[in-house]
Amino acid sequence: MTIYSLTFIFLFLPLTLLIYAISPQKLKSYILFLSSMVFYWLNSTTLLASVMANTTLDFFYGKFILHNPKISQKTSKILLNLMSLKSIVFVVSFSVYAELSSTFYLLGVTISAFTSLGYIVDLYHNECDKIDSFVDYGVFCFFFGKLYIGPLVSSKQFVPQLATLKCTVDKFIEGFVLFCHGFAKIVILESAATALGEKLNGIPLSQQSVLGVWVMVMCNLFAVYYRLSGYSDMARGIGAMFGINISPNFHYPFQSESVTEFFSNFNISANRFVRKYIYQSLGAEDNGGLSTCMNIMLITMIMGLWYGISLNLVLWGGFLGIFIIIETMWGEKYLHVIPSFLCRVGTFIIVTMSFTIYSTYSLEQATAYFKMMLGMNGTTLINPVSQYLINSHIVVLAVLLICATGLFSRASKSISAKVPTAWTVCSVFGNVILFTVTTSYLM
Amino acid sequence: MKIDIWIKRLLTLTISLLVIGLTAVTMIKTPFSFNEKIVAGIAQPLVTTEDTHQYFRENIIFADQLRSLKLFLDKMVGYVEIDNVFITDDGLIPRYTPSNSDIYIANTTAIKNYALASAGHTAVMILPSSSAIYQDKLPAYATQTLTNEKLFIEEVNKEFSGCAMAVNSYPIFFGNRHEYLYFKTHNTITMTGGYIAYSALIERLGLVPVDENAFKIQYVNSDFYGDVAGKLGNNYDISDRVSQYHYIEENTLYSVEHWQRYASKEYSSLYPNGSFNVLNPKNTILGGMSPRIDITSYTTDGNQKLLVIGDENALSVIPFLTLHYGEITFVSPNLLTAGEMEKILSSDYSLTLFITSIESYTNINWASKINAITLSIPRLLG
Repeated sequence: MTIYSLTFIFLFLPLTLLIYAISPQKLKSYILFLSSMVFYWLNSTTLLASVMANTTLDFFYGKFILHNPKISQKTSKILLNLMSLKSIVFVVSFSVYAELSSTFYLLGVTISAFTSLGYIVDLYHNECDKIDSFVDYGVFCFFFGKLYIGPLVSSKQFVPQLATLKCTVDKFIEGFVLFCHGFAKIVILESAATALGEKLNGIPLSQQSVLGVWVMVMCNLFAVYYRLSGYSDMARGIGAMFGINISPNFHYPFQSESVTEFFSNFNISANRFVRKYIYQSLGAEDNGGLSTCMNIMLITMIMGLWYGISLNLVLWGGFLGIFIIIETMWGEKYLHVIPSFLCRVGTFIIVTMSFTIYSTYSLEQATAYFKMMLGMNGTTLINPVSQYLINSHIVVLAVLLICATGLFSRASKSISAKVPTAWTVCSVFGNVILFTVTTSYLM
Repeated sequence: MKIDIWIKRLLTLTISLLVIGLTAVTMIKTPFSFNEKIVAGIAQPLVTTEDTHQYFRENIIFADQLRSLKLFLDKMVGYVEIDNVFITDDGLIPRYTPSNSDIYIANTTAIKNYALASAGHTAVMILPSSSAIYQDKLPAYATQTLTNEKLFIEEVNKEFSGCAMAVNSYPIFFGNRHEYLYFKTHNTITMTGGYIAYSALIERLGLVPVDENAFKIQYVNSDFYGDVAGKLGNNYDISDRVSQYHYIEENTLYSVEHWQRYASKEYSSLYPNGSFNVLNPKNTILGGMSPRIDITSYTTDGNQKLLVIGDENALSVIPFLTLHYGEITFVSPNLLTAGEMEKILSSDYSLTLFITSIESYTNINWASKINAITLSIPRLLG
């Protein structure tokens, strides 16, 4: 049961919302915890015990060991390192196993483990308050809306909200709108991008064309973006319906004027996590040029691993890392001279090319596509098969591109500032239509 | 300010009612099945969610309208091909996609073995797909993505030289491409297509085909919506008319006997227009598909017997062949088991005709079924 399935939308979510709305304040976090457990159990019965065990250990470590006057600071630190290692080994071993067995599906393993890990590290550094209730801790790590890809939340931001949970009209509307956006992104846009990408990918390598490969890689890029940002929007929407604020995870990354900006705006919470807990610990940019370059390369490669255990993903991170290093070391002098539009186009081209590595299974395949994108090896600009596929999907490609920009967001902000009430009405009814249209794509 | 709050409350109420209402209505539609599924699925949660998802797909209110909406939007954004079906102004044209070559090689070998073992003659006719014949109706550039069926049929036909008579139907179909050769909503040939195939076959056999003017063409009153339309949710303003070719010159008596595993039926006409068949107009041709159909023409000259092995397309050709063969047996390898095929005594027939669409020929492995008939042929002891 995915969060965009008919079962979830027409049964699980309304039922949970109804019970949640009528239950007293004290029970609301219990309802969320219970529903999250049921959701997890329905999706991945076998994994539930393992992920619960991992986070429960962190909870007890935070509750009874950290800042316990009877336990020395040194012991605490050693235990913290062991707990961190435990979480990393837990995630890596499950990811490797999932990579080896194609039928194994990892729901919420990374999210719950790293949410929990972030909490104990923050608690160790006195950056957040201790969570006393296991139920609150369970909701913090396993809230069903954000189990897929997050966003990763900090306890400082998430847990205080659990004390004042309530359903309000404003939050429900906000949640519904976000939910509809995410729902449409996954069901319509991501599916359309994937379908076209697969059709273009199905053309034998010897019959590929320059434009065909470019569009195929762009489709893969859009498919990944719409899937991840769709899940994030749905998570934020579900959170808002239950009165929980969750920060955005994507901020129009394709409008970025540099690769560094793209990297920061693409999966913001994961990026922040890696920067905070790894980049800063390594000294960030404080230890000279070489150390900075090494640190940037390391975190970009780790970010690649965030999306799966694969050599291509590490190389994808490394490829972007090279540009981030160039921008960090020398960019300030030159980037501001280049017109903003050109910077955006340039960044988009680099990012699209990087997805050749992201979306292929081997380095040889990626290299072959790279060469074709550059028109090497006598690849024709366009051939009839690619032309047919591109021509018959031209509107789809335009929609994929426009929706990835902040055009609609800017327009809606501008209109809502002028006519707020009319805009609220239009927005809700517009989203009801969007919801209906998206549902039709699940039939 | 107060107005704003009330508008928001109203909207929330509307949305809540919409969501809860939809859920409630889907449950009311079939009140008991849902509970049964939930109870049955408790021990197997994954099955439950899949079942529930399927339940919602089938029972959700406005399901058909939602499917129509999707197709409408797909057309709006310029999709010319949905689920491997080209949507043209003149009809739905399924894309022919061959699977791996092992299947057609196995079928070819099996037919060749049969032809060599059989005492009678063997003829093979592979019918091209509508996407190959109606290329001019397809969107620009789409034709470049199609398989070269002309070449394929020619190459396969060469394989039969020396053992079976291959009838190349491609040129005659392509030459008549402006005719109503294929159904617009179904992946088979029409009776007009059947007549074209019959003409090509009979000429190849050295006989003279009966002129088309010797038939009175009647149409079944109700519209026909075939499987291809069904696949896309019957959401197009396209339907088919099923025609019947009645031989004018004489009133022939027929017996059309359908063999099915648990029941049999018999008609006294090539075009049984009973109320049950008119519900699906395509069933008015020989009474529709069955694993085995025996057609006896009591007034046809000569006592030659014909065995037709093929797919649904054969039904559009057989009515014309009854003018030349007193007894025709049609068997469908798709619907008969190898054991059932084995019981067919091919030595009783003077001609065996393999007639199938290129799609069935390349995508469905009939080798074991054909081999079963071959093995049942009595061998001459040397």
